Amino acid sequence: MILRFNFYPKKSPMVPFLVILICLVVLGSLLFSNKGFISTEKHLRRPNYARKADSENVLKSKTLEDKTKLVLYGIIQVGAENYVYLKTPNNEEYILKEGASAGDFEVDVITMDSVIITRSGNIRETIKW
Amino acid sequence: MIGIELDFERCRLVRRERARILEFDEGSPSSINRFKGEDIYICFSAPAVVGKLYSGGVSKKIFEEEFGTAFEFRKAGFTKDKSKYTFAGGVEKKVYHSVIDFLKSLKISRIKRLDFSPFVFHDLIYTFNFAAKYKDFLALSFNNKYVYYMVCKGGLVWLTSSMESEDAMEAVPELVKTFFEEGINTFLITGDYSKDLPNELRQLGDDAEIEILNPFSEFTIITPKEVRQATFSLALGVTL
Repeated sequence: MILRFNFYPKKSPMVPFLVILICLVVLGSLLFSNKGFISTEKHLRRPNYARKADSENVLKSKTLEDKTKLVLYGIIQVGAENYVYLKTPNNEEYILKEGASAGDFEVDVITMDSVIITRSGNIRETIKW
Repeated sequence: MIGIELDFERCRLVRRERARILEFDEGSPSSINRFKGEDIYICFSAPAVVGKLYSGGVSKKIFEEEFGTAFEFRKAGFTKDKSKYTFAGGVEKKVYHSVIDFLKSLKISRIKRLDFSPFVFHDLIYTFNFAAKYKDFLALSFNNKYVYYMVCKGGLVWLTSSMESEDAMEAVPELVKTFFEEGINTFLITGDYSKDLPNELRQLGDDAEIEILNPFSEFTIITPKEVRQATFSLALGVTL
């Protein structure tokens, strides 16, 4: 009768199980989160033109967000010339006539209910009441 | 694979590849570090290790009550001639934990098995059919620190235990004499015994039979053969 005793302490069978479980939970949360390092969107490849259009849209919307910082407070008529009264959220005030510039923009056209400005980079914007 | 007979100060090793012995070596335990990535089988020589055969079953509680101390306990059951037996083996808890701590300090990468010398010696007796061949005998294994002895009756090992080698010069003849008087006249010896020992034991009784246990006889020895092979019996035994 051969004994073949083994007195070396066995690793708990729960340890590998728990390690696997923790790995699955971490991996799962990364896989299904929006900002996970494994994004499913990466694998759904879109054509180049679509991705380019997307990037342009992102740029535009970002620029528009900046533009809204100017608020139209008033349009003043002095003789034959129109002046526009603009304010920023930081309470910076501008009273400008057509063709005048301030900060990163230039006033193009002043109408009775709006003003069209051009930002640096030739991005035009209409600011209404 | 590498079989190592180890204690807190020294180690003896055998490198085996199936039925071929590729290396014998002796040295300090720290030298085991060189076997990174290899399967290591360890037979530890320590005090306070006992094994006993019981008819039927036995619990750890009964075993500990009988020997009066707490053990790291293992047992194995088997049937012979329609009778059930259980061989129980124990290593004193304090000794066991110091062995585990010692092994951890050696940082051995792949320990496949850790057994203790009396139990490996027990397995050798059965593996090489000595139990079935001689039936009633006393088996002795000598190492530099301990002498392991085993009592076999009716082809079964009933007790295995050890004593310090320092006492062996007095204790072994006494032990042999006691068993001789009880009618056991076969003595099996292995390990690091002196050249004179077989003759000394023969002088204890006219009809005393001394057998040498050399498990290497069934192996092809690639390494130089001058090495005293019996010395490495337990290091080989743990790999079997």
